[in-house]
Amino acid sequence: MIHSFWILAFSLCLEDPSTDDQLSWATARVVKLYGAGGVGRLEGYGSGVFVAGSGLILTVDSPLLSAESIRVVLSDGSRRTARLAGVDRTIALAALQIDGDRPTAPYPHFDVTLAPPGREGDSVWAVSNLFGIAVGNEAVSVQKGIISAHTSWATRQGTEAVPFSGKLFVLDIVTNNPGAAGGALINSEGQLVGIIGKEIRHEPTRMWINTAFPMEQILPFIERVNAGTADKTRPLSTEPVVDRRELARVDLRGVRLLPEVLDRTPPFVDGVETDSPAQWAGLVPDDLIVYVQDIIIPSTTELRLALLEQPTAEPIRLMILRNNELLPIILPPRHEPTEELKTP
Amino acid sequence: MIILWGMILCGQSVASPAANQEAEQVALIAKTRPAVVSIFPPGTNAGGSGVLIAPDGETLTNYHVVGNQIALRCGLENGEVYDAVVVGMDPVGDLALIRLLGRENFPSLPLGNSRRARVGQRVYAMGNPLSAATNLVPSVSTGIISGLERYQAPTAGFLEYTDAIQTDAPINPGNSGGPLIDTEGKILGINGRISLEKRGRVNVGVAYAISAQQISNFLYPLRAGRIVPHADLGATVRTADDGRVLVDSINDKMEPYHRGLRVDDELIFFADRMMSTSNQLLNMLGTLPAGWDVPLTFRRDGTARTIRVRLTAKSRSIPTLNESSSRLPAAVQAVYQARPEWANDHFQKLWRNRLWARLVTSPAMKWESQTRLGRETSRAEIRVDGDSITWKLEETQETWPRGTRAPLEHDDDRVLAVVADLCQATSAMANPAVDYLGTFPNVRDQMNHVLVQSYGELSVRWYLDMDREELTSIEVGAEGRWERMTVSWSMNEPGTLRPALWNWESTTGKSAQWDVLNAEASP
Repeated sequence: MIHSFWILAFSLCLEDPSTDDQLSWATARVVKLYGAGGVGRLEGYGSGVFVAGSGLILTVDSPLLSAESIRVVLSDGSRRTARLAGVDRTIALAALQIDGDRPTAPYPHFDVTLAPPGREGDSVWAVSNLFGIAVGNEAVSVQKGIISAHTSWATRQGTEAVPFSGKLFVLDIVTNNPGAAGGALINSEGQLVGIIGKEIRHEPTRMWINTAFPMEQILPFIERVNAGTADKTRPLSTEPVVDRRELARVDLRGVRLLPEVLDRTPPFVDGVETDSPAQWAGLVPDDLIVYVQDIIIPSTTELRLALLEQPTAEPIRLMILRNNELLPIILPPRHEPTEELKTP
Repeated sequence: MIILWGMILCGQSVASPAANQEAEQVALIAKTRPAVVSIFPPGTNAGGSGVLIAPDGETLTNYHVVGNQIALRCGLENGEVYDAVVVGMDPVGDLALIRLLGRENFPSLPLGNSRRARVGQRVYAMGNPLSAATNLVPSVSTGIISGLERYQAPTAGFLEYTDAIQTDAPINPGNSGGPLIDTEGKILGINGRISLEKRGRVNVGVAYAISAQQISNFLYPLRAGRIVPHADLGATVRTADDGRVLVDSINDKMEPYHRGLRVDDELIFFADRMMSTSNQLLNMLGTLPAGWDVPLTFRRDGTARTIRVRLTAKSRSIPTLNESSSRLPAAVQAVYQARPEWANDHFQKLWRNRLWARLVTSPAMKWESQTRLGRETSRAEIRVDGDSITWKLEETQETWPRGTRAPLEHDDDRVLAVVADLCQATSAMANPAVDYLGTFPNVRDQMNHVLVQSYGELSVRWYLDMDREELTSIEVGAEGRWERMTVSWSMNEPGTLRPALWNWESTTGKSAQWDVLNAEASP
């Protein structure tokens, strides 16, 4: 009773400008990471959280870490390098250790043993360098929301199912953006309750969901890292494996593509099926598909991936290049929505 | 311990129950929403948003909402639709000022102070996202300030977001141009840009608003009917490995070079901010219109030096307005006048005519001065009489006013010659055209209305204070010579305009000021 009272007190307080202090306290404990990547859909940047004064950083296991040395930018803008100190592939988390001798002063860090488990309905702040917005000593971003659910959901990344079967925090804010994974989820008392996860989708609906790993699931991993028993093999530098069979089954809405003769075959329209959405939309052979829903499409594989991600009953916005001119095209769904669906 | 901290800070908040807070929020939205505008540019089915900032219909929105349109249709919460006309635009900063027509008592919101904005602070975004408001009642979303001083690079030279406010309040297409409002109901910024990636063009919890600070810097230039150019420093910087901000390249045809800035100098301070990353310079620069004077401090070989530079205009492509004026509604035609490279000359003329009349008809301005430049015989004369302004420098000598401590040493002769030259040239200007530029800092860093006369390379700027609209200083400069002479007056004695300060900025970065009042008072 008393406990919830003070939490209420604090969440009222966090509406005040006085939160500035507390949020800067938290942002000082989140670092910007730079490693492998920067091509295609792989971002070369990410977020991490100091969990020990010795310079231990938690982040997610990702191709970013396939670089031998990871560049770390602290909140004051100073730069360090770090090495992989352990990974846990079941929860897709990794730990990094700042290079060099023990620091003279401890790094600003979260005390991982302090936080009570996060619960559904708790107010939380997501602190991360999403989109790589902040550079140097610029403060990372803060978003506010609540823990909507503490649950286990079947999820997927790209076309691959995510093996993790433990419980996740599902959040009501759009936290899981490029570069956000590895950021901190803090409660209204400034304690670390979770680590922001990768961009994943809910398997049944293919909706993007926003999730964080609860700290209590991470503590055993930290213990293994400290004991020196954690796995230290670096992740591969490739994108998540794409299931070729599934990609081949993607409905292209009547667009025939060039055969994949190259690694990155440009997505030229090779032909158009009769009475298909592609024909209704006026696509013709030799049109080059440049964008799908504002995302640049460099290859036929990327095009199939992008179309896979689109709901089948919705029109898709394309931008095509025809005779050196960019044209917007709406690719309608195969079937008009039924009457029930049309009702507002 | 953290819980205790909560107790101390929140002792008072606890007394106000959540219900009260919700009631306050509902009241705030009821109070502010009538000033939020749904904007419908003609010929498109896209829509945007805006916010009224004055009862006469002045409305802020994004440039990318207005595009190149002269006339717009705008709806308010009360269900009424009004004609609106473009007043001024800033394509690089993505701002536009339009004016709703037909009323003199529009509801409006004040601009807030974005410098006092704090991360974590609650904010409200209002507007017409996804054109959902078919009944013209704007939508409201809420969130916190996620970040400050954000830089988002431009696309093809347009829509550069500098020193922007980042929020997690949901912003979707159609919210563009709408206000980001604080809990006091003041405008903290104008929402206009979102980060997006795989999920398409919808909210991903990262939106950017143009700060109220940047808006206030551009407000009067926009009111003046201009397509406002952005400031350019004439130098680029890089962040060195050790975090210092160093001059990377410099244009030797621009002012900072002629005031002494060189490649590899360390930039320490610019405008009103310490420089800790190269983004910081882009941030500050982006908030300023061309023609702004800023202090700049740099360090070379361990010695710091401060110079004052006037920022020139960034090279730009000027949008052409959609001139199918035959189809303009009558109400819009009455308040629109075309002028090449301007947004709307009608509003320019209103300002220029009023301020120029203030300048030449006020009795205090019919003024003739004999200011002693030299100890004995040098006299500068500036006379404002009717429409004519004459500058004259009689006789020159090598001595300077008492109180001057040999400011320029060996440059004295040359300086005096240039002053004489400028005065002579200005007198030769045969009533050149006058333009109102908006408000800019004067030589004392006070915001002043600025009227400018240009004659070839020569320009004269007239500075008028914003409250009384009285002359505070006159400046003569010659383009490409990096030299300006300013004479400004002390305003402590209303009605008497005694030259109080002569200011000289030379090519070598030296500057001198002669406090004429004090110099004359000394024996």
